Amino acid sequence: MVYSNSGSIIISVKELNAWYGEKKALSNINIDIKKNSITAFIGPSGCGKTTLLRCLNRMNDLVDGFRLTGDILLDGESILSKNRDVIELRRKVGMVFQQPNPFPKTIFENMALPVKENFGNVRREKLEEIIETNLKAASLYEEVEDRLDSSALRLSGGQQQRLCIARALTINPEVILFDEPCSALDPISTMKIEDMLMELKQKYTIVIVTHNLHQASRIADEVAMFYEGQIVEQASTDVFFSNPKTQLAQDYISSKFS
Amino acid sequence: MDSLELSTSLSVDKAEKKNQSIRVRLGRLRDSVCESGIFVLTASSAIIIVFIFIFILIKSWNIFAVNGINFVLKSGFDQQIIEAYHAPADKPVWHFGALGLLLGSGLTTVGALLLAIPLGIGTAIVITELSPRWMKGLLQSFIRLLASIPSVIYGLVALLVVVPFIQDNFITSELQLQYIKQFQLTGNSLLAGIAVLSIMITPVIVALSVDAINAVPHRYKEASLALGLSHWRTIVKVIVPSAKSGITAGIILGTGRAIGEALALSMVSGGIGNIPNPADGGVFFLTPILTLASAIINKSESMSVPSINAALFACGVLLLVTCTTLSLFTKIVERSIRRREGLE
Ligand SMILES: Nc1ncnc2c1ncn2[C@@H]1O[C@H](COP(=O)(O)OP(=O)(O)OP(=O)(O)O)[C@@H](O)[C@H]1O
Ligand SMILES: [Mg+2]
Repeated sequence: MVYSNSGSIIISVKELNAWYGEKKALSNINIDIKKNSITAFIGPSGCGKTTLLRCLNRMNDLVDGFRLTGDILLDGESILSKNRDVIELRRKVGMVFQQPNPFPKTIFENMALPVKENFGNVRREKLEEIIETNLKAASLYEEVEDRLDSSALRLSGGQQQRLCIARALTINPEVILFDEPCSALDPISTMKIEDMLMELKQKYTIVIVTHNLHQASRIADEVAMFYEGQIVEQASTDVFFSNPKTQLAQDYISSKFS
Repeated sequence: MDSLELSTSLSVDKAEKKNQSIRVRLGRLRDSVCESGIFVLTASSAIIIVFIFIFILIKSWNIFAVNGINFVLKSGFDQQIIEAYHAPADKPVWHFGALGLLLGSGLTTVGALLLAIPLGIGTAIVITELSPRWMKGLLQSFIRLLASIPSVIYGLVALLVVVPFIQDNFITSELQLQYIKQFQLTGNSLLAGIAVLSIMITPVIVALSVDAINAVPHRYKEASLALGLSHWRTIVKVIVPSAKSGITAGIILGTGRAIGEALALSMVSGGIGNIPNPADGGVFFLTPILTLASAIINKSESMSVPSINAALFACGVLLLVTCTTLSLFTKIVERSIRRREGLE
């Protein structure tokens, strides 16, 4: 393997094939994701990035007619086996969606709900402490500290997305999946989130789908390029951008950077 | 040559523009005709409602003038109707007290809601979240059917099934003897009223709750599941709370239907305006009662007497006031929920 040099592997995808009904969405995917690194999935629209990401926390279970073959290991254990507890898996592998999706509740309640649901009845002070820490980690705390009791839907798009990130942090996941978290945001919010991701990788493993190759080159350690349901090239970020091996990757990079 | 072409194309252009402007103007005319048409319709229905209100108020005016607040504080409506009916024409009886009817309406409605709210929301959850797709459509059409069955059918079924059931299972001859001085225990009772009402309003609550739950954005559900909540906790903590304004609307609509229901209740609830006594224990629920709406039906035979006529219209006023208050209340509740969620 290419990555034998550094970092332990937390997620390992093996020979994965996936279908939506009759339509094949992923074929023969093999990829390892290193602990405490940022891995970026790139590639043209409809090539299967979201599909793979949603396999990693089994969100595709919700989709009628979705099925897959192959295996995905988290810490060496299959997450696809029949007796695997999906809820426990999703506590370990958090997700931030493309559209910010705070609940129609107050900011405080948005943060408190997953804590209460996952850790039972925590004391009020403890709860407030968890909320404050994670809002700070998502660099949102200063902006909302005096309006925790107002509706999360009144925040701006960028603030909502950072709230969703903070909310995902509350349950202490090992891995966080980001599906184009900045696609609906302005450059300043995007910068804030990128800085935050760089911070977060100290503690968490991050997988991010992005259409923005500049973003991938700025923040990612590893890049995997998808094309029509396959991974056509995967390498460390420096190697990928300076010296792409496949014609497809070369064309994609030059078209995006021109 | 060139200039000729240009000028013809220009004139074509002009004609085209003229056509277009006529079309735009026609369009505007059509819009304004439609708008004023709708306005006239809305205004006239509002005016009709106001007239109904005024008409009923005038018809019942004497009752409120004579009894004042006592109309809703005193009981004995049935007895008073009989007295008024037999009173000589030169000494008519104008004293009425509808407290028994108010309590009858209140008790049947509250009782029916206590059963129908959990049943209705539970059914809505089963339909929207727990059944496979092919069953959803089936169940939903079934619920719509239930909601559209005329109330007389519900009344008939209750009369043939529920009333005998209560009579056979809860009423003994000793019990009948014990209460014979106050009322006759026949099975026609508060309990039968609550049963038939709750069956009638559950479909209303289900139908509106299903719509409300279906309207909850899928992304809330995904967010919750991705945070490690189980499907069930997601329903309880995220989906139902997000559908709360629609569910509340369903409950209030159901309440309105329960308060206004006359026919089915007059068939099964006993037809006598007793006030159930909590000290009677279980007999509380077996007491024959009468509600405002069914009183208007039950006593309408004696409408030829002016004072009874007015008393029944006064019951109508009470009904209208409650229903209007309810619908205003709905608006306020919905507004405040939406504001709290930050949707407005
Ligand atoms: N729920 C679904 N049902 C059926 N087909 C789907 C579904 N979701 C995705 N697909 C199909 O699977 C393929 C891969 O989709 P996917 O969403 O993974 O692409 P993507 O790489 O994330 O694209 P984008 O960059 O536009 O988000 C597409 O052809 C898409 O049409
Ligand atoms: Mg996608």
